[in-house]
Amino acid sequence: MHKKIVICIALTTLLLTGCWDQIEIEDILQVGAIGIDKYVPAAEDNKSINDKQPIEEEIEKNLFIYTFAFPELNIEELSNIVISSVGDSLYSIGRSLTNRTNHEMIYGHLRVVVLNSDVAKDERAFREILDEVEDHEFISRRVILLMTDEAAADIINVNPEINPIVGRFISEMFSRKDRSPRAQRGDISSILGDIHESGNALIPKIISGEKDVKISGAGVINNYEFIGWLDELDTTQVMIFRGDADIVGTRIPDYKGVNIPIDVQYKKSKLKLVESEDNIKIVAEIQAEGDIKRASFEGKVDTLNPDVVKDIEKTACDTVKKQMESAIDNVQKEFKTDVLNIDRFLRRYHYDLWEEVRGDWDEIFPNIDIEVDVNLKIRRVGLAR
Amino acid sequence: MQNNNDTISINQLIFILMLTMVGTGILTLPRNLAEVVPYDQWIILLAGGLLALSIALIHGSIVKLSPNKQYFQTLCDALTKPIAYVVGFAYIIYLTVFIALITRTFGEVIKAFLLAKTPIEVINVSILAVSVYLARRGIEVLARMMEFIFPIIILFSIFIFGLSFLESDFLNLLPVFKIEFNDIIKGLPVTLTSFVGFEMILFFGGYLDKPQNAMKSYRAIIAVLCFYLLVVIATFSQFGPIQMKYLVWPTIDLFYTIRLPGLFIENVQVIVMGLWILAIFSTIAPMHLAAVTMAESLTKSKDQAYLAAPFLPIIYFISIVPENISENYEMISKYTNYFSSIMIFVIPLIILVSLVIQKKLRRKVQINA
Repeated sequence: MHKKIVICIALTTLLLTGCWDQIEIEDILQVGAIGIDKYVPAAEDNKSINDKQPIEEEIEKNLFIYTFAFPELNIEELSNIVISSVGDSLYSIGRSLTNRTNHEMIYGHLRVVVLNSDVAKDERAFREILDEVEDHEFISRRVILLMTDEAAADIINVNPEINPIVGRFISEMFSRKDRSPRAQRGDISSILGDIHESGNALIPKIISGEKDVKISGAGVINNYEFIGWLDELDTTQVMIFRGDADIVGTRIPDYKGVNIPIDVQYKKSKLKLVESEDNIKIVAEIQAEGDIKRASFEGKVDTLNPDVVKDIEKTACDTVKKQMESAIDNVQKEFKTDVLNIDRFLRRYHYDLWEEVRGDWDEIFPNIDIEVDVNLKIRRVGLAR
Repeated sequence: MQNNNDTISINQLIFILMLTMVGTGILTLPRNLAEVVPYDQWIILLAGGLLALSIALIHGSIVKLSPNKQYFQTLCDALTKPIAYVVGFAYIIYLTVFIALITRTFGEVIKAFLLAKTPIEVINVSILAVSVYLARRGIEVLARMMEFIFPIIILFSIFIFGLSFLESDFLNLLPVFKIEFNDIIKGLPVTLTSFVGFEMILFFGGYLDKPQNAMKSYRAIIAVLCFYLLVVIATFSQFGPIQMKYLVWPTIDLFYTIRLPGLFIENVQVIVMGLWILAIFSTIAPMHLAAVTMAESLTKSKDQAYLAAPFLPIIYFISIVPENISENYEMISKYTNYFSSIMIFVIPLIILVSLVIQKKLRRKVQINA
């Protein structure tokens, strides 16, 4: 008798799979991407979304436009459904959307959040959005966080030709290991980590095209506020400096009249603190190996000649060093924001010094000396000399 | 009922102890450690483990000194009968409230991650009902259940924590050896909380088939310590000490970061929640049984089965006393800091001292005679 009951119970549990809190799977909208824009009521028509409220109050309420993209189910051709709504938080939008759709929205498979830069310019709004994402039980920490200076809704509305589901397209782009480091890691876990650590971070920038999107450069966050865009070349250099870059294509534009592209594999960079009395000096040792991808057909550059290779090596080192120094200069002088993670280096390896400087790090960082020591070795030259 | 052959082996006891210790604390341990110091959290953990180890040795020797006796009997021998009744009753209250607080945490986590629309009352009562079922069956069934659960939990959790190391940065553990002695002392209560549960040996030691092996129970502490080290290193190398302070349940967040192309399920945390429910159940059930056996001794009943169910409403009502989750955690930390340390450390120490003195006196009497 006992056995029969146990078998019955076991079998019923099998039948119950796929049922989750009384929601059928067809009635679920799997949000794949969210775009967040700042809501600015149009001045000329002087109308608010809620007629009873004056516009001023609405602005004060910190309203956002949320744009959601869902993959359309039950259809042979993949495409997105896009819904957009105005509200003060993801939660309240979710509530109000219950009166607009017959489906339940869930965020368990959310891949991408795109922020308009105006949202990030406002510290309060930015902190609210970040906490919303970190607090949410179902939003994974692998979600990609991006910034854009266009309307975030435009990015969400793009249907990339390669994969029309925009959320999945972008997140798969970020999970490519060989991606060129023109934008930094986008997963919200690492960005939140950076912001928790110092209030500073880089958030990858996304640009929309007609039929595709492109990640390029990064938005600089200083003290929980967006302060400007770092362009893609500088971002690459910052990534190399931080040791987050793997493969970077670089080139020597004019080596004896030949344009030589080099495929460079970076190792983790090593930082060193050089003791000096008047200033903090950091030396970054950057090690890399490169392959020459092209010289010139029967040209002057003989890549089987070790002296020539050594010379190319030296030029390449100088090129990388120059680029990096200009990027570091930009970060220190223009943005005055430690996105090079030197604060983290000091905290980890020189805790006593860090204790002394942590209070005024924002003022100290722009004036410290950073020296770059590039050591690039060319290993392979291709199949023809 | 197998009341007549209620014996367990030392290995079974070790399984029970290990699984009782690993419970709700595992979700919050990394954050609690991060709040004490921004570095060297693993040293605090080691120190806490050593302290727990020494307390476990005290418990072990109590069991060894009064073999095959129920804990209440030991209390009577050591503290005289009237005091033993008071202390025994205090133990029942201690266990009941502790189970209640764990149940509440369990309900909150399940409600947040799995059953958002199920009332917390239903969640709490369901787990307690299963626990009642097990407590009715006595120690043997419990021991076999733990033997059964243990490999499932261990195999899966090592696999899953291993996955989490794929994307972690061990430099987050730096700087090392910066910690000062005061910080270690400050952090001890936090870590000791995570080892609560090893006092089960006091309640179940009487069932051991070979009581002289009781000291071997220290192995349970070492195993759990290793497991906690794994958890702490995995979470800290993922989040770093600064971000950790802001995460309510860092251990769950850890599994939200796992990304493995080609993994057959996208969200590993589903497995984790399944394991965690088992882990919580294996904390609640032994404590429940311990409370029941104590009640059995106090009431001098012959069978403990009918005493299991009355605990359910009491535990349930205590579990809904905290108004919100913050208050719940506040209560747990106060409770374990004060009440637990008395019940786990102070009282057993007194008992041990009393038992040792009695033994010496007895020997003297024998020699003199």
